[in-house]
Amino acid sequence: MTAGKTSFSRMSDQMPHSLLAVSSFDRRVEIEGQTDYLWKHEVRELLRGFAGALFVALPLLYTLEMWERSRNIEEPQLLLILLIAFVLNMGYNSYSGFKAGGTRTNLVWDSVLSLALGAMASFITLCITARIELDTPPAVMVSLIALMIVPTSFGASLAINQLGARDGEENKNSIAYKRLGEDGEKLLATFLGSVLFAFNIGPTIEPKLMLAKVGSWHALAILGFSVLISYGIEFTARFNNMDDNRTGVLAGRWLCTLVCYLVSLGVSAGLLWAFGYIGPSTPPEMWLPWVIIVGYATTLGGTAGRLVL
Amino acid sequence: MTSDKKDTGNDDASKSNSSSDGESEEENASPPPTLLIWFTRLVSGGLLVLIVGYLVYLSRVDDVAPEFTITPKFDEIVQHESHFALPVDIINGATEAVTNVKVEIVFDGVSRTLTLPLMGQGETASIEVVFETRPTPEALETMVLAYQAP
Repeated sequence: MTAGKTSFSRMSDQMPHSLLAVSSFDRRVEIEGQTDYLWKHEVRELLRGFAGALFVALPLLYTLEMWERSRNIEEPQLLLILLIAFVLNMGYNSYSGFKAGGTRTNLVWDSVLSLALGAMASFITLCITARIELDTPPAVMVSLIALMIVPTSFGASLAINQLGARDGEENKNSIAYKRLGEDGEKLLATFLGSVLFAFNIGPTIEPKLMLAKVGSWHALAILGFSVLISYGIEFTARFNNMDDNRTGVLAGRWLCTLVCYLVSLGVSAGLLWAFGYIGPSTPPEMWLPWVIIVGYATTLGGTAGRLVL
Repeated sequence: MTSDKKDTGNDDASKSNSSSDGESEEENASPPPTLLIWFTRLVSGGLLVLIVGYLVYLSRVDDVAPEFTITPKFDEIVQHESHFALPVDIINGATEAVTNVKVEIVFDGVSRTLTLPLMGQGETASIEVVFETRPTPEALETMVLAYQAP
């Protein structure tokens, strides 16, 4: 084995690439045209994930409703939200992640790292903005961080998409595309885009205030406009080089738009439940227009997800 | 596995038909992480286990109904010209958050009422109430008039 720039890890040379394989610190690799020590690439990637966490979630770290909701949400619900966040992070990491070059992806470990990066970004920001102080009770601190982990970890898992360019071909090489096929990938992108985009709106009180004024006609107008704008953005504005030779059950444009809209409405309802605004006892005349109002945001996010992810 | 080949994920020149070279190339394209990442993974996993474990613990603790401890700090009274500012700590001893906590502090027939928008479980709110004469423990009354449970 030669030492220096082109040397490889001794351990990797001697054993197959198993689950617990380790590269030595003197290993150099070329990633996206840059040859450097592997550990330096890894440090950069962790920093990228940390920055991604802040880019996505800083507005929410500054949002009063997030501080309030975290104190009000029951612990079992918070645990369920964390579990869902972990699964969603696996989805985001299957598209993007925080590692360069689309290699070395491990969905489970990368999602664990995303959650931890989110926790660190949340903790530091909440400390330096005096949301967490020395006399803050541990229960409040942990609840606050646990809820903030959700958007911050999404940011970490989408760091490459946020902070680096990916072309369409690279997206077609994503794990999500390979595993789920065109229809499944489209629905997953809708789901992930909806959650990411609307997470900034779900916890706020403004949609509830809108609810006071929104009647049946308003709700129908929001519903209709959401569908139309979704169709327009995806199929008329042509933000990217759209593939006209689409296959799968959702190849039809209107069918695709309507099915994805239903997914977005589901996400809207899920977010309102997660933040404790609606539940089984909420009357339909209240939750339905509320879901449609927030659904406007989830629809836009879902459409963006299908275009960007 | 050869050891002097450049470590790159898309190096066509390094491709080989032999199985051993195929393995090495696959590894070069996606090399295993260093101990740094393994350390980070373990710390991250530990951190998440701590958070989840603490939330599980909180969910199993018996509920304590809202109860408030109001502590006037007479030794920290500050005089501003002819007025006296009395610091008061209010602690929410419940295992749940409460909102719109309405606190009344009465001294010598003079009432001061204020509303705290949100108090998490175990959280302390520090306020100051101002009276025209120096408050004394004997003549001061404190009470929580109302609160909203989630």
